[in-house]
Parts: sequence; C-alpha cells; structure tokens
Amino acid sequence: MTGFRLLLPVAAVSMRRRWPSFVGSFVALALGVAVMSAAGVLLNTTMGEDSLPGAPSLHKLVSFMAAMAGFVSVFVVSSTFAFAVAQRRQETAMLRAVGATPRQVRALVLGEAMVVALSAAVTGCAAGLAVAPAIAAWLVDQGAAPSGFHAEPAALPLLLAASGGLLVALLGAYAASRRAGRVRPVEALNEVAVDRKVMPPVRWVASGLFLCVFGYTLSTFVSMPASMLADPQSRDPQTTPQFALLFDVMAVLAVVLVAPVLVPPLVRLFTALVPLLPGAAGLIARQNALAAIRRTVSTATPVFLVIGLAGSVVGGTVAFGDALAAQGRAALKAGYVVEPSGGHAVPADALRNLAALPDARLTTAATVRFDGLATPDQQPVPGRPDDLPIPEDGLAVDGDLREAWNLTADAGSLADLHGRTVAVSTDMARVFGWHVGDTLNARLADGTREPLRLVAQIGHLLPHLPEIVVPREAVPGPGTVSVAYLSTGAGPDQVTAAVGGTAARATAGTDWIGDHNDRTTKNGWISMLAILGPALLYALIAIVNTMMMSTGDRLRDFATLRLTGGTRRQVLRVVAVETLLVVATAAALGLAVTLVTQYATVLLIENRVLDATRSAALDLPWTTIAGATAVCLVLALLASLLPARLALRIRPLDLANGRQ
Amino acid sequence: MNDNDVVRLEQVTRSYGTGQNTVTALAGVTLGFARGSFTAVMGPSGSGKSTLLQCAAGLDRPDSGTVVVDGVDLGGLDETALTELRRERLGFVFQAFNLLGALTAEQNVGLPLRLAGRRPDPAQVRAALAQVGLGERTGHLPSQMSGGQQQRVAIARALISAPEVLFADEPTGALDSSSSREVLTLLRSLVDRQGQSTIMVTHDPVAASYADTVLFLADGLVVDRLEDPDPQTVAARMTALEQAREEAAPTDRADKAGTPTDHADEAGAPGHGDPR
Repeated sequence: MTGFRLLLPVAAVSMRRRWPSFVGSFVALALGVAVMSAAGVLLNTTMGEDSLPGAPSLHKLVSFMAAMAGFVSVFVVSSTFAFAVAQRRQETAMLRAVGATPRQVRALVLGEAMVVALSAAVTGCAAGLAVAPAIAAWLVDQGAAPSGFHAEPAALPLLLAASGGLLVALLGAYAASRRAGRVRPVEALNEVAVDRKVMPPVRWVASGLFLCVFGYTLSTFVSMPASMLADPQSRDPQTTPQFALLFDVMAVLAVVLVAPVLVPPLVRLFTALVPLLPGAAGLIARQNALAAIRRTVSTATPVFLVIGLAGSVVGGTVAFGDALAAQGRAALKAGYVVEPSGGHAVPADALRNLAALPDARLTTAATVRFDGLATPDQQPVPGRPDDLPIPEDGLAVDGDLREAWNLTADAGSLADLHGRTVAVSTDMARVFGWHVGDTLNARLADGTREPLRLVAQIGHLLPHLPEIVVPREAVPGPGTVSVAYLSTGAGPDQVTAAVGGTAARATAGTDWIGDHNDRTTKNGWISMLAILGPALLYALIAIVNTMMMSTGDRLRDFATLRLTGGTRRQVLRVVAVETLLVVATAAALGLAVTLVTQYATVLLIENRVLDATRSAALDLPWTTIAGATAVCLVLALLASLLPARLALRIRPLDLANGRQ
Repeated sequence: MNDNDVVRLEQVTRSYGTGQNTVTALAGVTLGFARGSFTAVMGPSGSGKSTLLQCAAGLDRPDSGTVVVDGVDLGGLDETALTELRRERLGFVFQAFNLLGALTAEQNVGLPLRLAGRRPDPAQVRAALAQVGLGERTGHLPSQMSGGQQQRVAIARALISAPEVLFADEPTGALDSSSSREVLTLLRSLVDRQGQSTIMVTHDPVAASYADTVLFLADGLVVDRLEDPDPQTVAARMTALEQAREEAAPTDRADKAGTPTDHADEAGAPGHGDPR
C-alpha cells in the first residue's frame, strides 16, 4: 500500500498530461450512468403497474429502454476504459523499466480508473435525475404513457446505475491493466507496439452465450410455448416487434464480442488493392487499422452499434408493419368498414340506410369488456392459468362474422356461434386448456356472469380482431354497434350517400386496414424510439468520444508524416481515410447483423403474423442502413479531423519530440 | 562561399520568446555547405546548432536573412511548396528514427514516394534497403528491429528520393556505440561513393570525426571550423568552447535553463518521448 501511495504523485502528473483520454473515459461513463439511471428511475416509477390491456405496457416499454441503455453502456464504457489504459502502454513500460512491479502498475491504473469512474458515476446520476422527467413528458406527449405520468426520484435505481457503471468501468480497466502489467520494460523504447492477442477466450465464450440466447429466444417466440402464450401481450402479433428487439440485441452483442476477429479480414478486404495503388493515405490507413486492432475495434464498436441496432430495429418494425397490413387485407372480406364518426356507436339510421343498399350484407358488432373467462368445473391445472390474467376486449357479433372476415376454425365450427356460445383464438384455448364443448364462465364489466359454451377455436389470430367472439344474444346490454362490416353491389358513391348526414363513416376495406395499420405502426415507432433513442444517442456520442481519443493517440505519427514530406492536407487525408475505413468496416458488420435479424424477423412473421398460406420476403432496410452510416461517418469525420487539424498547428519537430 | 554550395545561409537570425525572455538562437549566421561534402555542426547546449539545421532544412523559418537550398530561396515558398521541396530534394534522419510503427520497413522507405503521389517501385525500395545493409528485413515492423536497424531504415527512407542534401539531427543519439559506428560508416560511404551532401548535428566528437568539416557554434554564431577532424581535436575544442562560455557568463546557463533554446538541442531522446 505504501508503494501505491508513493506512486500517487506519478498518477497525478500522468492524469494532467493525458487529460483527453481521461475526459473521454469520464464522458463515456457519465453518459452511460445518466442513461441507465434515467431509465431506472422511470422503471422504478412504473413498478407493479403491468395491467394495461392492448399495446405493450408502459412498464415493459421502460424495462426495454433500461435494458437497451444498459447493454449499450456496458460495451461503450468497458471498451473506452480498456482503450484509455491501452493508450498509455509506453508510459507503463517506462514505469516498469524504472522498477515498478506489475502489481504496482495495476494498482496505479486501477486507482486512476477508480477516481475517474467515481466522479463520472456521481455526475451521471445527477444528469440522469435531470433527464428522467423530460423522457416522462415525452412519453406522455406521444400517448405512450397516461397523462399525469412523471418520474419519481428514488435512490435505488440511481445506486444500481452508478454501481453497475462503476463495476463495468473497473472491469474494463482491470483487464487492460493486467495486460499493462505484463508489458516488458524493453517495450518502452518501441514507439508503437503492434497489438497481439486481442481476442481473449472470455470473448468467445460470451459471444457464444449471446448466440445461444439469440437462438433460444427466437425459437421460443416461433414455437410459443404455453407459458408465453399465457401473456396476452406476448401472444398479440401487434406487440411482436417489441419482443423481437430481444434477439436483435442478442445478435448485435454476439457480433460486438467477436469484432476483434472479424475486423482485420474486413479491413484487408476493403483495402486489398491499396498497396498496388500510388498515394500514401490508403496504405497508412490500412496498416494503422491492422496494427492497432484494439483501437480500430474500439472506434468501430459504437458505429456498429448504431448501424446494427438501427438497421435491425427499423427493418423489423417495417417488416412487421407490412406483414400485418398484408395479412389484414387478405383476411378482410367485407368491402366497407363502418365506424362511428363521433360518439361511440354507429347510429341506427346509418345502419338502416346501408341495409337498404342493393345486395347488402351487413354484419354488426359491439366491443364487450370481459373481466374474466373461466371454466368453473375445471380443476386448476398446475402451471396453467384458469382465468384471464387481465380484462380483455371481446367482440359481440350480430350476423355471421365469416361474411366480414376470412376466418377458419381449427376446432369446432363458427356456424355454431349462436345463442349462449363463444369462440376464442386457438392460442387462447391452448393457454387455458379449453376444448370445444367446454362451458366457460364469462364475467362482464357490469358484473353479470354468463355461462358460454365454447363452439369454435379461431385458427389464425388476426391483428385487427379481438381474441374472444360471442354472438350478440349471448351477452346482455344496450344494442349499440361499435363497428359494422358491409358487402354490397352498390358503388362507393351510393355507400357514401347512405351514411351521409349520419354520425357514421364508411371506409373501403383496404383503406381501413391501411389506416388501422398506420395507427399501430405509429405506436410501434414511438415504442421503438423510446426503447432505442437513449441508447442510440449515447452510441452516437461515444463515436465522437472514441474518435477524439484515438486521434490524440496519433500525434507522433502525424509528426513523422510531416517530417517525411507529407503536407498538412495529406496528413488530414490519412485521418479521413482511416475514419472511412473504420466506418465502412462497422457498416459491413452492421449490414451482416441486420441480415441475420431480418431473417429471424421473417421467421417470426411467418409463424406469428401471417397464416400458413402466406410467406414473407427478406427485405433489408437499405435507406436506414445508408442513413445511419452517413450520420456516423459525418460525426466520425468531424471528431477525427477537427482535433487532427488543431494538432497540425504545432510544429512537426515539436510534435515528433512530444512537446506541445 | 561559392556557386558550388548546395545550402547557403546569409545573415540568418532566429530568436525564441518575447520581451525579457527573448533568447537568440542564431545571431546572423552566414555560411555555405559545399555540394558533395559531409559537414558536422557542433556546439555547447544552447549554441543554436539544432536551430541552424532546422532553418537550413526548411523545417523552421528564420526571423531574417535568406536560406537558399539547391538554388531555391526558401523565404519565397509557402508551407505546401516548402513541404514539397523537402519531400523532393531533401532527406532527413532524426535521433528518434520517426518511423511509422504500423508500416513495414519496405513501406516506410516507400512512404516519401507515395506522399509525392507515386507508386514506389519495389526494386528501387529493396535497393535502398540493400544499400543500408537491410536487404533481408524488408517485411519487418519497426518494433521488430533493433535501434540501429531502425535508424538504417530511416536513412534508406531519406535516400529514396535521391535528395540533394541529407540532414541528420543527432542520428546516433539513441544508439549504442557499435550501432552508432555502423550508421556513421554508412553515412561516410554515401558521401564517398555517391557524393551525397550531408549535414549532421551532433554533440559526439567521435561522430563529428566522420565528417569532412566540423563547424563549431557558440551563442548563435560560427566561431570555429576544423577540416579533417579527429575525435581528440574535436573534443579539445569543445571543452575549450564550454569553458570560455562558463567564464564569460557563469550565471548565463542557469538563466537559460528551461528556455526554448535548449529545446532546440535536447530534441527527441526516445526516453523523453510522450506516449502519445
């Protein structure tokens, strides 16, 4: 310990001299803790509130936001701290040369990391507390949270975010400090050491683990075991995109971990022709990127995170939206959907006029809230729910629903849906262990109880229909009509005229699917933005951060280039080409991971959204990938060229001699 | 002073700092370096010898006076033109080697050609490496070579564009004595066999003895000159110079400690190297 105390002045001096690298580590961790603590505070506020029917609950949304922020922070923080330690290799070697033991070097490196990490964690918590209300307000604005929702500051999430960030930072620094401690004193004289052994076994193991989780989550979502079906949210195809995020993240993380192995061959591939061409920039950029693999990986990681996550998530959201719309269009049989244009019910005069149209077939339906649906005489089966976990909307139909929608029954028959009967989705029947012929005990919102006989299991759950369908006569209540489906030989003008002057509007079937879909898609985008936004923003800042750190790493090379006869412009070109190379490598990896996640999305769509007769095409979100790459490139170029320009104002001789 | 001079300085002055802290590194130096000659520049710390080399090589600009290199007045060139002239007609060797650590020996040697926008001819690069005795180590990285080998790569790089003048700033400062001997013998043979004009700054009398002529600087002026030097004579003159300086101004050195002047001399021991 005495040894360490004696080294403290050395640490202080070294911190003053390498401040850009410390600032970089500080920024990375402070922001990471800020994002995690903001999400954590919101998560804590929504704790125990998981009962909103329909769209994914606020609690799930915020959990995903916190998880995403956590994952991205872990990678950015650990790689930034490891990078900062690797940068001081020469100094470390010098310390070893004058007699510092590996243990002392580790203590010094960790001590410094601890000081930076502690101050960054505290700053991050304060920033997180400040940001959380803004995110809450945004969620309320976008309708993703009920009005009145606000962040309630709490100590526990802050403590968790801070200690988590601290732990990750110190682990990153510790791994690097072990490497630093092993530096041989003679390496003090080498100007640049080439990175060796950049792929420790633990990375392979962790990456394999993530791949397994990826495969496992994907296969469970495709096969949907009963335990997952039990949650109406995981069974609802409209919320599948949010769950698809899970394996998107797993795939991205698996790739991040093996990046040190994937990056060199990609760099070689992209620059295969460079040694044959004239000009220095390409060659130097290639050699630099290959020699300092650790640096290349550190700078490419946040770029890859942005491109891979944006590509996977946007691609998935778009694909799900398209599939839901396609399935809806194929399933909707009725030519028109009639809805109330004000109020809650389609007025009777509108229905009368519509029924009078030539060749009109009208199916009307009302939404009924089921508080419960259970088999009273059934013994509870272990591990299986015996009643609805949360209230669910059902549809009470007057007429034959098969006139309006193409529906198939997996068991029983929809033709029997008369009197005190009920039809449910096959998924739901599986969850509760119901069979055709069972009598279910329905509890309605007004407290009435009705025994209903199960007559059919609806084969494919439509995204636009509730899971419970009953005949109108099965449930008591006012005869309001919340939606009517119309097929008629009359033209659109006649249909419009028929509802004209009434408080109803008729929409052509395909348009209605489109509108409906736009609404769900919009909700989907808001969720995606909420989940991904903080993480993406953080990764973008991390790009700037690591680029600036890595430019500071190369002042000596700049000087050498200038002294060898390179103009300022040529040095800047080298920097630009190297940045371009890093972004291109990250983009290639991002594209590859998007390909994998999009393939997984297609599997999910075919199994969870589309019926068996339809298939989905593999589509890559080119515009998103190109856009994300462009944003990253611009940021990375600015963050590498500006500091390089500043550095080049110093005389090359002073740069070469390490003076400023 | 004649037309055969490859580098000529006239009334060159250069000082650092402002006001009371002004330190004069060159106090009006007029000097010519003959084509095909090997000149060593010596002097006590702060005598201005590194500044002289930097001004003569276009790495630094004098406050007044003219520098003419190979018939070109450097004062009339902008930064880019100056860089191009350095690239095309001058070669540099530094104490700290200044090789790019990520490039192989071969790639480092070809770098000046690439910077000039040409693709290096592999045969030419290998010939340059063979010339410095490194024919077999073309694919090695600097970190895989000894100091002497790295400095020889640096010399090969300086020679690749067939420079009119080779400038060497303490080229043996970071080397052990046997590596130093190799490097100096190499420089000497380049002068003898190819008539390579060479200007070298050094503080080592043994290194200086390899030159045709030794110039001695003190307080920014050339105070002495020695033809066909041997180490003992050079060392004796240096000692005399340093003594004269201490007698003239015993407090002067203390005043000057830490001023920009000695930055011109103690340049670039790798031990001082910043990890950045």
